[in-house]
Amino acid sequence: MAERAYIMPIALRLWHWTNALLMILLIISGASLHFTDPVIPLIRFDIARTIHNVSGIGVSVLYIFFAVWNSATGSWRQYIPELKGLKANLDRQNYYVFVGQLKGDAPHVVPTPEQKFNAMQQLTYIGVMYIAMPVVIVTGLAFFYPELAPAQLFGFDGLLPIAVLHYVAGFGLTMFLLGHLYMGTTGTTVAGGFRMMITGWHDEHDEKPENEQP
Amino acid sequence: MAAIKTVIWAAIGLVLLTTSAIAQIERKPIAPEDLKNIQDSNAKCLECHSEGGFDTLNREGVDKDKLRDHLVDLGVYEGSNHGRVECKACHVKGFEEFPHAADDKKQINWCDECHTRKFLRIEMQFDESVHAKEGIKEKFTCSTCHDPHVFQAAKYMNSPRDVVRQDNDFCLSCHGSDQSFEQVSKEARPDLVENHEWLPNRPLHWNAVRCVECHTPVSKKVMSHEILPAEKAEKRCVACHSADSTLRLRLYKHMVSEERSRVGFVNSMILNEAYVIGATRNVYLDLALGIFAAVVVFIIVLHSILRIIAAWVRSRRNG
Repeated sequence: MAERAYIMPIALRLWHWTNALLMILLIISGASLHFTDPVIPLIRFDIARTIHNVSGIGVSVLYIFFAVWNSATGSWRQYIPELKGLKANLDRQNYYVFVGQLKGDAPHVVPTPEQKFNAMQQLTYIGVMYIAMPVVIVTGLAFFYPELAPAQLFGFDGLLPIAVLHYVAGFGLTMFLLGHLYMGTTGTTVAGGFRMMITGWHDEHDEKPENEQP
Repeated sequence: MAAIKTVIWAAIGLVLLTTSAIAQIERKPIAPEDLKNIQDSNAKCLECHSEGGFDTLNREGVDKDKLRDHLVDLGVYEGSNHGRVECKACHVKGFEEFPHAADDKKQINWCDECHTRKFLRIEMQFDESVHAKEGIKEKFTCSTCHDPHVFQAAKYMNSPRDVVRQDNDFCLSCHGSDQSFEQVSKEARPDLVENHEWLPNRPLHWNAVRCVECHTPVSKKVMSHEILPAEKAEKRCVACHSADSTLRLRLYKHMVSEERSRVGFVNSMILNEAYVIGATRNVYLDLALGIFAAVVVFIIVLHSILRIIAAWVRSRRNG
């Protein structure tokens, strides 16, 4: 009999999917603004600008929810990997992704309400939620006040470093989204991860795995 | 240690590459003795027609109220396009003596005397402009916008910001003042803020580009003098916000020939002044991130294929 665990409360799922929708809008509109082409625009510049601004503000507000929620509930601890044995845990995770999974092995780390992430996820999510997101949000908000940027920096307009940081961090998040979507398919079943993010229930607890987190 | 050195040298290289000023187009040289003759001749006029001369002037028969409107700032004049032109080149015979001839204004050499070819082209463009079509053509002469004692051509100016300031002041001298607008038009002065509500970051745009970037048709030769009304003006953001930005043919026209691609930036001569989304991209960065994205997609596709094959092998093995 498969054990099921309710690990994704409704608020978390709503936050996740709203974030996902806004990030997709930001990526498409951001690409339209960066790679403008008067002949074949992805989204027309002025429309892309509105979408990007509104979605950007939305994501910023959601990030504030995330920060408050994480500090209030102590969930931030879930992102901190256990340093002892970190390398072994990462190696084990990589081995599972590139070998074990192909052999049909069960995942050796199964999410619980207390610890949802494996070591690889922890490192990735630290980069995403605590580095790339703040960078993309702060530089994005700076674009609302371009007059505050220095007039010149290294002979270029002072807005350039802000723009480049925004672009690179935004690109990093786009790559994360690709990886995140794909990793979502690598559970016991292809749709299992997505189903969990819709229903909140993780139903792969019948494998009796050995968790790496205490 | 080696990594730190590499970073320091890369930073120095970047600074050297990016801080080289874009050369200003030089004016034609003039022989020092010719320049001195011009300055001496002009000094005679400025004995009355300058702030300093006006203040100390005590000459019989001078109407100082009238003269006050005809003062020239020598510093500004010498910095203008006509700064090395003798006053008498335009203000001919009637101005040589004092009091000046009664019909002195008729004895001014107008712009077309020197700028004949340009004048013909500009007049044709101007006839199509909103100013001519609104029935106020006779209110306009070249000097309505281009004060010959002040005007500087964009190609001789150091900074695009200065060009923007000067050229937008032409427009605002009427469009920013009810009093001046009434003198040329019976219509109510259009509310510029209201009319440009569609334009994002309006103050930033107004400081960074000229009214004529949008309110003239693109011309591959010189800036067109066909001023377009609001309904015909450029409203497509991508006209400027693209790699093939029309700013190359407008505000930055005189810098395009000076441009050398600086550390891979498209339209780097614009980037010197303003980061223009879509127009000032870095091709190397785009390429590097594009390759990175391709590698990520490749890994995902490869992994998917391996998973499918592995699942098929397992199902066959398990019967």
